[in-house]
Amino acid sequence: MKIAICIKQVLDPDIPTSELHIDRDQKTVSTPNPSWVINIFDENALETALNLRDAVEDSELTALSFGPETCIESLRKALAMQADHAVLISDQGIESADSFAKTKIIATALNQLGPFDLILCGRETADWHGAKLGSFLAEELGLPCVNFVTQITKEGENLHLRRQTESGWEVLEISPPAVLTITNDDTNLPRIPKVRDSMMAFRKEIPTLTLETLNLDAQELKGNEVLNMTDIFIPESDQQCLMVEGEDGLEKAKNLISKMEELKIV
Amino acid sequence: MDTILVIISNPKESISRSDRELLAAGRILADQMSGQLMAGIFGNSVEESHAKETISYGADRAYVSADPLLVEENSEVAMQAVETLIQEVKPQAIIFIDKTSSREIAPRLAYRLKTGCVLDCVEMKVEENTGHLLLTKPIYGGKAVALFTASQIPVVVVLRTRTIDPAESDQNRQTDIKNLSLSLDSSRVRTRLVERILEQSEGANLEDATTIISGGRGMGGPEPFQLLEHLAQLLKGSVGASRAACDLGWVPTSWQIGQTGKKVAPQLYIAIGISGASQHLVGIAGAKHIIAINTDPNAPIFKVAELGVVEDYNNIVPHLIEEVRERETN
Repeated sequence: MKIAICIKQVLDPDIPTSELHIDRDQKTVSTPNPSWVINIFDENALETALNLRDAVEDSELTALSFGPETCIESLRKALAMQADHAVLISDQGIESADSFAKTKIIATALNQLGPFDLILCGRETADWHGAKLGSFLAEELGLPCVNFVTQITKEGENLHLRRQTESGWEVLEISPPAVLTITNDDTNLPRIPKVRDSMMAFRKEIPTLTLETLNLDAQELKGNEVLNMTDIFIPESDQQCLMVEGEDGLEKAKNLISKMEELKIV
Repeated sequence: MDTILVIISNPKESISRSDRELLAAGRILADQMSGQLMAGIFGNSVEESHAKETISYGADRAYVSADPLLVEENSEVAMQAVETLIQEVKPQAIIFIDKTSSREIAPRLAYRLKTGCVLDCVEMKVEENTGHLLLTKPIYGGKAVALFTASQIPVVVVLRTRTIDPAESDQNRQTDIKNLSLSLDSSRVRTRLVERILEQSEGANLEDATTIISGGRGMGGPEPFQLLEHLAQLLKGSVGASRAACDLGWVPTSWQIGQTGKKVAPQLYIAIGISGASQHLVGIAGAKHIIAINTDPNAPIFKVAELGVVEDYNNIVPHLIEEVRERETN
């Protein structure tokens, strides 16, 4: 099986709110000590992809990332986790591509590097919670897309996908090729790369695809803004927490229950 | 006249609470636009009763389409139904309530129509001066918010659950029901359902629970959750968990509360051993009273809690159980 995974490098979303700076006029988000990580759901997807790659004979996994040169770091981590190949799609001409342009670019790259039996994405990005790329790619490529998958097994020519729903989970059968978006469960906690693999990853070549290599025209890709962001800010919060004290756990428990009764919470 | 279109897919015996939230939100928008609220009801078994309920909850007209192909897992078939309805109704916006099928249909639809798509929208309103639809969505795990307007119609929106009270029924509303005839292409069926499991947390369904006791990484393992289940039982509540506890396999993933888990709106939410990562707080934004128990006095959860205790769960939860039990027997 030829498997592809699209990963996005994001500003670590677990930074405290106090370190998140928003320029309301420029509509930009920044932080004084930026820490860039692979989007957590893309890491879950990597783990799911690696498990599948290992389970199915003659399979290989290619990690792709679209963004500035610095995305190479995320691709190295993917290689260190034992992805087979990594490819960067980067071009200054289209750095702030809108989601439709991005889709077209990634789809073109996938067609050039493929054909792939499976294309995986994280279910959403932990920064903008877009949750669209997988579906957009599927629509562009004319493929089915199944969301919230956590486990994939090969059943003959088909694939069985375990995926979460709002009321539980289900197993769906599809026949590749397909796009899948991956969510977290206890089977796809991302592995921590071995030091040796991290060092080997540095020696691997990560080719860069530009708009030229992809035969795409920057001008043609622009002008598709269908959404305008009119404002961005951090909402004020004035919640005050009353701390319940006590000598020990027993006293704290009594004081807590009393306070809850006083405030008519119970 | 401007139209807002809401989609109700695969209703069960009666219109769900989430669908009623969708109708409430749609009604408000339609009224702000001095327009109409249309509802499209699709599924493999849709009855006239669903349509009547939908009208009573605020829709001006209900379009109904039942077809064996319109099962939950066939999102591409559902898209055909939605596209047909869009051509008929020509709405300003098409709104889905957050669920798996919505998340599969909405973005594909937006891409196909080349219009904007906002997922996890928490607020929608019509801007007074411009008449534009203003859509709010939280970003960075809920730390910040971004507002969007659309330049193409129909804008496609997926509304987060538990952001609005569900619509109340008004039996006096004029019934206007239309059957939508569809010619569905069965070759678009590309998924086959092998198995479906409906999971419930102990006790009531989490999203409807009025009391939730929730555990996180601070619980240390699966067994301590039994303490939480005990306390929940006494308080007639349900047990939830943070993403960390679920990822570690301590509790089922269906117990996960947060940005990418359940959104809950209980009267009482007790967070035990949960640090309070923004994405978790997203899931409890609708909670009335939040109480936090954590060994770390600097845990972010204390910033949103009403009452807090710095203590190890093991030293306090057993005593809480005793206290509650004593009060129950008195």
